[in-house]
Amino acid sequence: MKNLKLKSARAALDLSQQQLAEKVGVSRQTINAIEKGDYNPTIKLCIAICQTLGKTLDDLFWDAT
Amino acid sequence: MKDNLVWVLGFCVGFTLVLAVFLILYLVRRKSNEKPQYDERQLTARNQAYKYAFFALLFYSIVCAVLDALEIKWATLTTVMFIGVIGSVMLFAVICILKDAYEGFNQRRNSSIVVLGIVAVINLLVFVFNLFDGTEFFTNGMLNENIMNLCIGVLFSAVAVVQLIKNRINKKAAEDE
Repeated sequence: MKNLKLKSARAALDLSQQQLAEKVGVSRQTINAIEKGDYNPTIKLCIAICQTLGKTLDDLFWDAT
Repeated sequence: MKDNLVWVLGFCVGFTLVLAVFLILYLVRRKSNEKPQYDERQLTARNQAYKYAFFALLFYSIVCAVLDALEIKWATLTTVMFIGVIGSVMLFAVICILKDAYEGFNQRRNSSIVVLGIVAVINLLVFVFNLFDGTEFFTNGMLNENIMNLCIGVLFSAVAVVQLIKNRINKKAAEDE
């Protein structure tokens, strides 16, 4: 399932996948895979992404439906 | 006996050269803090690739053992062994490249293509020279060690080509994003 919340949070800060990847310390393909729903990140990576984007885990990774 | 000695000597020289190239690269990378770093997705992908390469080598060994038991001899023991190793290494490298886990996220994408290309060209050139030199590639109807340069050349060129194609795809994907 696509993670559109992550994509929009990244876009809101005007960051490219490459820029976010560099800030978090992963490859661009990993960010791309998370956004496309092809890869399930560990909690450690989720927290790193949330801290970089200034969001909570609920904001980016919790799906209420 | 003399031919075997020449082959072993050639192999040792080639192996030492490749080892020297990789050692130099390692030292250069260590000096410039370019040690490859892999993120969690890449490590998982590499682990999967190791698994596939391991089982492929296992399967190949069983097939070779069965063929040997049936007295079907298609290559000398050294050749059979090295083709298995080369095949499994190629499988590992290709899976890693396809899953973007061959090079670390801190490395330049084209850094390994040059080395792979050089090793491929050297081995293919040696094979072509051997071909025109009239070197025998069969001993008693079995492939012999002289075919090794072709195998290594094909391995490294295949890996370099896959890496090149994947880099193009990644570049396009990054532009489209």
